[in-house]
Amino acid sequence: MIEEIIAKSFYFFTGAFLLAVIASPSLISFLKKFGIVRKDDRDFSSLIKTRRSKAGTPVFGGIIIVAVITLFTVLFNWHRETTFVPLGVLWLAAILGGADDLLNIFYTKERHPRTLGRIVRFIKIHKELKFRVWYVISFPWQAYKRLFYLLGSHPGHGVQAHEKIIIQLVIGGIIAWWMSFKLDWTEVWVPWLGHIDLGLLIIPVILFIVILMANAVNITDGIDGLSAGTLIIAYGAFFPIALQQGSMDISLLIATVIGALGGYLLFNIKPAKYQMGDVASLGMGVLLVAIAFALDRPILLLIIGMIFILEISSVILQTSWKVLLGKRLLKMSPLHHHLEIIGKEETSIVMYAWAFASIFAIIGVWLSFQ
Amino acid sequence: MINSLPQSAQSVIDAYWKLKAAENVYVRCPYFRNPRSGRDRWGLTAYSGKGSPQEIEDELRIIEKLENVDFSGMQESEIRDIMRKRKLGIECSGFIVRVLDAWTKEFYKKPVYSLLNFKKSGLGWLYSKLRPFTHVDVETLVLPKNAREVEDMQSIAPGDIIRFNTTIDHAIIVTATERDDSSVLRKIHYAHSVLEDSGEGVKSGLIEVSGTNKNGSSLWGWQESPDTGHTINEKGSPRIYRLHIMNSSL
Repeated sequence: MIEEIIAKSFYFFTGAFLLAVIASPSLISFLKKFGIVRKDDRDFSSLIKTRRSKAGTPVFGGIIIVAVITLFTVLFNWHRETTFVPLGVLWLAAILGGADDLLNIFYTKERHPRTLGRIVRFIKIHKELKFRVWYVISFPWQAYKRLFYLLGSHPGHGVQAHEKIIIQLVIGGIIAWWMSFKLDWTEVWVPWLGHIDLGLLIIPVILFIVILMANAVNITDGIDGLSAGTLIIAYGAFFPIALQQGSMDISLLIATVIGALGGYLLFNIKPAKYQMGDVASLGMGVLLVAIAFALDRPILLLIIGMIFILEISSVILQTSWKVLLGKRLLKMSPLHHHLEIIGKEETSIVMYAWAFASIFAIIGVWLSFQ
Repeated sequence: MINSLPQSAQSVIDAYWKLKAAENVYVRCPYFRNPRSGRDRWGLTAYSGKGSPQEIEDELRIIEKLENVDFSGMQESEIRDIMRKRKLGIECSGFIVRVLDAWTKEFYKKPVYSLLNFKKSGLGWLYSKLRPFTHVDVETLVLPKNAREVEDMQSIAPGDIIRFNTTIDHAIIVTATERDDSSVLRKIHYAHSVLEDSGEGVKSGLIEVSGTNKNGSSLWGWQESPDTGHTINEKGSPRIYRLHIMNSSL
């Protein structure tokens, strides 16, 4: 059985890799032709002057990863009980990320929410009663929007933080529904302890992990080769776990993802010919969560995905430090930009990250066998 | 007879006058005042117009990297322009509080904010404890709980705050006083961070008390360094305040 899975996985990996490699040059030309490229004024990391050379690099390159995974899965690995939901949530996240990428490039109007003080003034002085009532009713929503606006680093275009969170909650809700009601699965596996039944608590746990990992992978996609390399390592760690469980469908899905990422990575190594964009970075995080749940190993995301956790933690801590204490913890967040500012070479940072991710991937696999 | 701020407080003023941008390159801190709402208020203290010289210097290091420039080969005015563009500077109350902080740390062994009462309550009070420097404004400094008004200008002393509350709320800090042999006040030295025309920042000034007019009011002559053609008395009538915590240290 295992030999058969490995053999088939090899074909899926090779096919996905070759397709990504063959299609990439055409995609790069297409993205350049239609101006789907990185723009300095829409990207906060371009504050770092050395990153300004990235302007003009095509973004949205991650669509090749999503397309290759979709093609191989729909044609050769389509199973309602295993690959249907992972692919579905990948696409939902890809649509969200793709919309963000395209709006960031083509939408010219600034989108800033009103301050709460301004809304309170409208409530007091607006000449029309219906507007005053509307502002009172919508106040919690406006407060929610404003909070995420202040906490985020949104440049004023594209999908805003509060909108992303809602869509990610929907994606998390789909995985939770799949786990809890379709698979009737409410347990979480813990190393050495075995299975612990969380009951309906599994739903908030899933929502939290989906939002955490989707954003963590998205944040890690900051410098050339970083996210693709670390994602290959993370998906690679789940492959022996899928093998151990004899899960053909998930093994093939992982092999396809690694192949597609590998093909993409060839063109994303510095100097990148194109960049992943949110279209795939959000989806890759969500798909990783779906696979971890499908393999009954979501807890291992905290180990196998440690590099992503580290990156998102650096952002959360930096924001907390700034908002609560008015001080800077890092020179810039996420961590990879901090390292760039203190003088580390971009390629060195990527190598260190790959090494770090590999160590935790090995630990994760070892834990899975306990 | 000259009475001055202690050296620790004076060195803070000097630090704002000579922020180290690079080796042998020093910059006088520009003015920046943050709006009451918006991201700046939630951000770094240094970018809310309340940063210490050290915090502002740290940001200068980062800005140098971000802008990919070399401050060591730049004029002071060019660096100040970059600082203004990046909203890095100090506002009047931020400047005063940092100077007073050096004093209270020396005299009381405590930061100034732990000796002040804030006008906030509830969650605002908690937030003002977490990031106190952002929450000390001129209004807080001169609250009756924190300060009393000095009616007799002759009793003015280093550490006193002179407030101008007309078109805008502005304050300066008295750094030294000079009296003649009969203890009559002759000169008041002060420092402040001020907005003028297209910029400005930290300045020092001298008030010469040249006697009294027919009504018995003191006649004040103002001059400031650097000379920008402006002095702070343009802002309106001054009122002098003394922080309660200064009473025992004077």
